[in-house]
Amino acid sequence: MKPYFIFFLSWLFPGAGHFIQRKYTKAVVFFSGVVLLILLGLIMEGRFFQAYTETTNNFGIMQKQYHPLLILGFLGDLGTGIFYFIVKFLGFAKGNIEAVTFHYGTTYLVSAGLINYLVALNAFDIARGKKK
Amino acid sequence: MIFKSHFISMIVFSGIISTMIAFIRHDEKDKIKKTGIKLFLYMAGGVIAASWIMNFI
Repeated sequence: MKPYFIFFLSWLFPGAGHFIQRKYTKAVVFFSGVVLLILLGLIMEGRFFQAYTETTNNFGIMQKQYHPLLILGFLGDLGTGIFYFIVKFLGFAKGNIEAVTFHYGTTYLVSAGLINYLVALNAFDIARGKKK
Repeated sequence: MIFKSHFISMIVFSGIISTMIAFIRHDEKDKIKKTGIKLFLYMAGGVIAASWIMNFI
C-alpha cells in the first residue's frame, strides 16, 4: 500500500496505519494512548485551540485575528484526526478557564494530536521500508 | 473534577507519553521497556528538579 495513504489513514484513525501493516500491539497501544489523552483532556475541561481570536475594530465590526502561536496550537489539535471533528461536532473541548485543570486539559489535548503525528510518521516509515 | 493535583496530572501525562514514544522508537520488548522507563524518569525527574529549583526563586 502507498506510504502516503498509510500516513493519511494513520492520522485519521490513530493506530490504523500500524494495524494495516499487521503491527497489532502497536496499533492498540497508539489508539488507546491517543484516546486516553483526549478523554482525560476533555474531562479536565481543556479546549481545542482556535486559529484566531475575534476582536472588534474601531468601527465596531468583528474581525478575525490570526496569530502564529494559535495556528500552531490548532495544527497540533488537528493531529487527533477524526476525533478532532467528532469532538468539535459534539460541541466539547470548549474549555472552562475557571477550572483548575484547564491548562493541563488543553495540554493533554494538543499532546494527543502531536503524538499522533509521530505515530503517523512511524507508520509511513514502516510502509516505505525504512523501519521494521 | 479529576486530577486537581498537578503532580498526579504530570505523572499520568509522562507515563502515557513515554510509553507511546518507547513503542514508536523500538520493536523489541526489552528495549521498549528500558526506553519507556528511562523517558518517564527523565520527564518526572526533570519536573521535580525544576520545581525544586523554582522554590529558591
